[in-house]
Amino acid sequence: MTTSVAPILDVKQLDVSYHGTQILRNLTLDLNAGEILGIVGESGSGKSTLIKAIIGLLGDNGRIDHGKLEFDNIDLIRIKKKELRKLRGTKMGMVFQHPGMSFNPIRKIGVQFFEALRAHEKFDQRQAKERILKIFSELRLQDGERILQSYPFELSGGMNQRVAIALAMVLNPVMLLADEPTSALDVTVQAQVVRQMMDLRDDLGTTIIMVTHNMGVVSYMVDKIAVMYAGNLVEYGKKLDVMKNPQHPYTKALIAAIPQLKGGDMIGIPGRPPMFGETYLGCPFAPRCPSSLSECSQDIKLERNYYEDEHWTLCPYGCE
Amino acid sequence: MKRLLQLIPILLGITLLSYALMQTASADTVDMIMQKRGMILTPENQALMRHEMGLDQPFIIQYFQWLGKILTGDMGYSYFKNTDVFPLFMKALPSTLLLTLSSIVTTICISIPLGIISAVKQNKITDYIIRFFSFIGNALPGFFVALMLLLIFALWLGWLPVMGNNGFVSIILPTLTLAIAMSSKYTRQVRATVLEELNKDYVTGCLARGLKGRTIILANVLKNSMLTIVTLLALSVGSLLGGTAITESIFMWPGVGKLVVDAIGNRDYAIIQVYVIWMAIIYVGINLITDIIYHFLDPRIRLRGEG
Repeated sequence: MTTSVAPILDVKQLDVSYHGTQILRNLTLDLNAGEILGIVGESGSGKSTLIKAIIGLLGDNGRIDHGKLEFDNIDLIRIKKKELRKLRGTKMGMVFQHPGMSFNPIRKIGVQFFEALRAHEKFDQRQAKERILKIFSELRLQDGERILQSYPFELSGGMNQRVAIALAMVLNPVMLLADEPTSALDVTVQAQVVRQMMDLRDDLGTTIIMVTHNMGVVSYMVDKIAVMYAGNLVEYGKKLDVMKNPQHPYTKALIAAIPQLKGGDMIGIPGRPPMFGETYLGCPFAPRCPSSLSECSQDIKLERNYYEDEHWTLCPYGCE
Repeated sequence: MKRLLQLIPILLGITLLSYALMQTASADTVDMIMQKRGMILTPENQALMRHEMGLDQPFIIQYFQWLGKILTGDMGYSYFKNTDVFPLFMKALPSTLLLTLSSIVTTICISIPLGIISAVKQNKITDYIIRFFSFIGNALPGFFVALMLLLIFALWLGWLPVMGNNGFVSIILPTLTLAIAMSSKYTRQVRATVLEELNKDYVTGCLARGLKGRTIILANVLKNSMLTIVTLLALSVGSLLGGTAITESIFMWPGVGKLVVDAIGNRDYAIIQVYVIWMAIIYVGINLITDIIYHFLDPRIRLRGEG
């Protein structure tokens, strides 16, 4: 490594809890500007919590207990509420699993765009419209006028999601957080949305973090993969390193569970992840791990073991 | 238009039913009139009077006779007040309309802001204070509030008149009496509705776009909450238009509530019948208006209805 660029997102040893129950444990990752990170893992692994912690939407019951969370050299833990509000929409955008989460169902889409713009900058009607149509054309959304005059329920699910991405991107934030943006869509539409997000990165240099169940989407669009299990980040690395050379048994199991086009049954992972607040010793995956050793359920220390540049896993026995 | 046509069978059904119900008590009418006029209650006199009033006819014939009169614009004759019912009723109506309007407006002005504040400051001290007072307002019976207000503002302070309708100042106490009870109820309703809306997904979306708290509440949450609130308010408007017997009686407010309570006491069935028609019209009308408001508030109803 010759030059080291300051990462746009810098998360170190982050602990997050809801109602006093710890969700994220000692989570460390960083991301450079313009990279696409895919966070994968089963339901309840804390993926969404991580995203919410970043954009400050943990709500009244969630809190960051410990660690460092910096975005673009801004301390997101100590930031004032007012500053955080200004950050959202302008430097960070968010897209949700369901487009209904982005839009107020009974207001016109155009109105909601204007409102989002005016929350941050002074725009007159004409300037605002120019801005909106510009992002529409960047995202290859045609018929912008009609979209703005529509209510969310008048558009299809896939169209809604693409417009929701446009809404998140209208002030050109440097980072887009996407919480399972394709999960609620038809397979054919998923591809469109994925392509749209990749265009964003290519054209605007947007850093994207996306949470997904879908390993297919991950292998197609991301640069880096973060695998989460029971609130721990268990493996992290460049996509090819992780996909081709997975180190953590959980990652291996996830990859084995991808449906194959020809031949080979997909293999599920037996058992279930520990519930939040459940106590366990050692590795949380040990009870389901095909290659667990007796010491895995002892009080072993889980730390990052590096295999390649930027590729590490929490499993000390991963590399056979 | 379809709704207006629906009004016809509803009105027929309601009037028939109420006419039938009143038959069970109608024998008293003759007794009460005769007592009031100081006539001697002999069976012959009673039978004569009954015949004069057409009360000896079978019930269904009476009903159609009455219906025929109504349709020709004759609303009936009050044997107690010795006058046509319709002018009586129309004289009482403006007072009731005025009281309805003033108390609903007051209620809206009190309960919507308080409800929103209470919801936004959920489980904080402001919320507890607002909830405390709305509990008290809910628990106090209307006549008690009315008497307390009279005691304080009319007797002790002497600021406001005790009763009657003598222009603007007279309306304050009856309005407050009604508004206190309704605001207490609605503050809690608004709070619950706004809280429910605040938990909806789109609010998270608004937050994620960095909208100001004020924009989220006023332009988004309140608009969505109005759907529920309008329904509740419409029901209240309906019952207010029907007159608020107790409040009107206490303040001697000359509205339809007082008119009909007196009429019931006297078995003055002509007035009661007109009142029943009035109530039916109110509720059908209110339903219609609510639906129209829905059309404006909720595009999903408006556009799907057309499509």
